[in-house]
Amino acid sequence: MHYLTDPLQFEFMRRALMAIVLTGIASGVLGSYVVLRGLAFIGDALTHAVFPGIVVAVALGRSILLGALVVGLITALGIAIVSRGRRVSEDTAIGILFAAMFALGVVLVSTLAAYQRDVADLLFGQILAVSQRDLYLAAGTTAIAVVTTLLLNKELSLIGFDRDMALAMGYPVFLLDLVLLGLITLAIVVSLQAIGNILVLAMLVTPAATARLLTQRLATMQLLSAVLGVAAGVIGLYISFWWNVASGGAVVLTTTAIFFLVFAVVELGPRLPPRAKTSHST
Amino acid sequence: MSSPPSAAPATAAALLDRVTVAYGQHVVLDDVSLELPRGSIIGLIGPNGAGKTTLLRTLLGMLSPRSGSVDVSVPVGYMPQLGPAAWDFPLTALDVALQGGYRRTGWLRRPGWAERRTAREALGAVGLADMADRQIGQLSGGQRQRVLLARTLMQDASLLLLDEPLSGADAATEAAFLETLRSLREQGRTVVVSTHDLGWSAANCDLLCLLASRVISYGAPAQALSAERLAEAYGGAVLVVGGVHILAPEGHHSH
Repeated sequence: MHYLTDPLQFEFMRRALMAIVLTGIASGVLGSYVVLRGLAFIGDALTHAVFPGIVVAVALGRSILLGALVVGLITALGIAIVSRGRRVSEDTAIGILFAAMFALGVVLVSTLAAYQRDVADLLFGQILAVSQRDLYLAAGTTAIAVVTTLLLNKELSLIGFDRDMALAMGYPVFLLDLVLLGLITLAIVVSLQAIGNILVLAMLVTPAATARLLTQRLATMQLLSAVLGVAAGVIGLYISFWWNVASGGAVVLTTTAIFFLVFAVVELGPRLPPRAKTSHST
Repeated sequence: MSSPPSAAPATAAALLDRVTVAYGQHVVLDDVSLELPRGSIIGLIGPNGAGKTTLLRTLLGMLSPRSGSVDVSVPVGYMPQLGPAAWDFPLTALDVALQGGYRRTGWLRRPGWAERRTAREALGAVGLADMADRQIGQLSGGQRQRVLLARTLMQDASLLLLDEPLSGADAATEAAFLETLRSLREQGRTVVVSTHDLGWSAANCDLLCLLASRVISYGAPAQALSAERLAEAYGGAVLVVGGVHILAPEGHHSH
């Protein structure tokens, strides 16, 4: 039992657990849309694009959450606008924007010699350095992201399922796409400190993909995805504590292990209900 | 064949007056004028690229005409083509039917029990009562078409625009559609059905609009589908065999 309770003596560990729980919830709920709408590439782009925001925030001594948030939302807007036109395909627009933003981050870092030490933390996460203030900010961000998503669930799911119908019904589809990208950015920002820039995508995709294997209902998928994200986060954090390995990597490997476990059971195990393995019309 | 329902209230569900719609340089609808009377089933036919979908989208207000006026005086419902939807989405047939009522439900709210009951009734009306809780991807093509029709019914519109609702439909689906369309007409609603099926539309529609960018003909099926008009629309020879129009194969290769 002390394996579970010992780490909790430490203030940094309690804060880290809180941070990872928030990460699991935010990226679990929003990750469902990332997986269902095939937005993994956009998610990846957004995580990289926030890098210069983080660098500037560190340089100015401000919260990296704030820096990432501002830049992430600007990038989300940029992607939405550029891909709206027909001249540049969405993939291309994203590729151009996110590489440019990441490059900007790299250039900024190279000018700030004093902060280079922190770059590894920015890229790989430093969950043990989460401050009380970061935690409040992350909690607020998670609450906004999750509540907004749940309030807009019926519109967001309609657009995801049948965009044409949403347009025909007069919904502001472009605006709602933008809101969704903004919400995904919020989830990324919450996860940054715990997981690190490079691995955030895994938290957005893997728990939701695991949940999709287990349910045919959107709300259940979102709940399961959050639960799986939190579970992987907590387990990974304990692994990182006891084996002294990087927390972000431990969490991501845990969620990946859970995915393959579930995948194996669902694919190879007895087939109970018939699952959706239908022809895709695209 | 039934005649245009002039007995219904004289006002039309929708009026298009000299409407031209273009994507950039490409004119898709050219000077289209149509009056869609209430309480009728109107078939919209024409070759691929004739502008059928564009016409429906113009009526929906999704496209604005370059010139001319579109006057839609009643609430409009829509059934898009089957293809583009994401059928692996984790939604049940009931969830999809409910979508038709979302605008009534309003922002930030979830459909209540009354909505759910109405949605189940709509699924029942298209013969899918026992499929309500199935994930939509598990349904057959015809069943999916019927779920989309149930969703359109949930919109409770007076002008229903159905974009190729019967392409590839099985017999059960076709029968469910026909029954639904007739009861909609009895309620005084107007249904516009775009289709490639000349035989089906000649047999079941009150009015036919033969479209090839322009309106080639519009009226009762017998007049609208004369051999000359068909040839004009499809750009090829038309054979009439035992009262049935058959398009000569070369007509299909004119694009």
